[in-house]
Amino acid sequence: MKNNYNTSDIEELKQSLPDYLTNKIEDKNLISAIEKALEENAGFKSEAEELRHTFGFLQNTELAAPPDNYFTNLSVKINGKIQQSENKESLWERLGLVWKILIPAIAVIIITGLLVMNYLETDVLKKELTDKNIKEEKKTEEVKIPEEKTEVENLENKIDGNSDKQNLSEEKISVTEKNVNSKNKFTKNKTETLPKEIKEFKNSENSQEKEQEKVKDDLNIKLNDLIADNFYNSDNPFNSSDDDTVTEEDNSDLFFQNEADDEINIEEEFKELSTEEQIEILNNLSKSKI
Amino acid sequence: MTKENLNIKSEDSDLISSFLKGNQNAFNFIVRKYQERIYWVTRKMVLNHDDADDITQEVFLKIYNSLKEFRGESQLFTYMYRIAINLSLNHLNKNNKIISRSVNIENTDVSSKDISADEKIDAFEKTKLLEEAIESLPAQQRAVFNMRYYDNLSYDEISILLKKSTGGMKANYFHAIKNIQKFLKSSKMYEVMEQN
Repeated sequence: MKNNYNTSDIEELKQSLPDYLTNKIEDKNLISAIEKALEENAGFKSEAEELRHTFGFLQNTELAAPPDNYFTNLSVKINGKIQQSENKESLWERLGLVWKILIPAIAVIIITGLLVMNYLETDVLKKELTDKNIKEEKKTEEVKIPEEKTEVENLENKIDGNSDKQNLSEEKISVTEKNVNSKNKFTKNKTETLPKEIKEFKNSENSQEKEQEKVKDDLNIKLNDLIADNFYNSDNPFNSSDDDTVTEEDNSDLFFQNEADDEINIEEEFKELSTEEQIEILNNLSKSKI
Repeated sequence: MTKENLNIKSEDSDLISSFLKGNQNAFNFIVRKYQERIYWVTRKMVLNHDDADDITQEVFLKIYNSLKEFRGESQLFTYMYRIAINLSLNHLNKNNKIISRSVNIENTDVSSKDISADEKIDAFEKTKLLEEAIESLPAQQRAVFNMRYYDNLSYDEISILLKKSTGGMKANYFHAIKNIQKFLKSSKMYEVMEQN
């Protein structure tokens, strides 16, 4: 608290006037500062006079008292209210501690379950969509691969008439190797990036292709055998060795040239057929052989 | 202290411990001991008897339910006083209304004094004027005015109760008195009273 008050502190002293007028100030320095200001400052004095009137009114006026016997009955009313509040105790408050814990816990579990189910549903939908996309990708790949295969056929057509079977087969091999390499390269790159499911699908696809190739190879071998057998059994003039003087050895060049040409034509024709037709022909040939 | 020895003059700690042991009568003594003081705290705040009655009952209901948690760090009345002021301020802020005064001739205590009919009307008018003057104050100024003028609380105690600065409380009190003064000056009734 300040020890010396001057008139410049008048505003601060004004705020202490209510306490001064109601004798609520204990600080003697403050009291003397106010009294000094009251003597020296007319404005401060008139302010104090006005406040004195106000306090006079407040001291002489009382608030209206409550009705008679109000306080006699108040405790009864309070007890009644306490009783009422105890009776009105909510169901929640009546519940035991276990239920008070269990009910919110169950609610939380249900909400969590619903959220998880919702999440899983969206996840399944996403998976289905990605599977669809993968299938579409596979379809496009399947479309690409036959295009590459046609390269072999083009080459075959290109060298159609070429008698050199070995060269053809060599080129075939090189082209198929090229295809296989590109295919492997493609599948390798793909398998590195695609998910496990696609890898498995790719492997099964590769195995199916291998099986198809194997079947084709077997069919080719069988066809060659049958052509060879039929050729020898047919009415080929070169085969009537008993009557003719020309020996096999003499006409060997001619024989093998014709044989090779025929074989290529038949083989090509045979290849153009579908697998089912090929099997049917083979069956027929084998029956005719019997 | 045994059950039989308890009365409204008993120590708060004895009444509380007896109540906590299951003696319902001990709480009745607490109510009877403090009901009048608590009523006036709320009455000066809300000015309306019916509202003050409701809030007083609410205060004791709260005390009844929270006495188990009362640690005795402050006096029981201080604890009740704080609850009464908070409930009254909540009531004022919630309603934020010009409180309809239920002042009527029958309810005024001035009749108890041996005064003439003219004096009776004069006292009634003065009471009405006082209530209107207090009613004109904002909630916080009203609380500070009541706590300082009627209940003689220090500014430190008021600042703790209202969670405000001490300096602010002093300024609030001064402005409350000035506002009452302004209200009275503007009233013709006050002018007439001053002349008489």
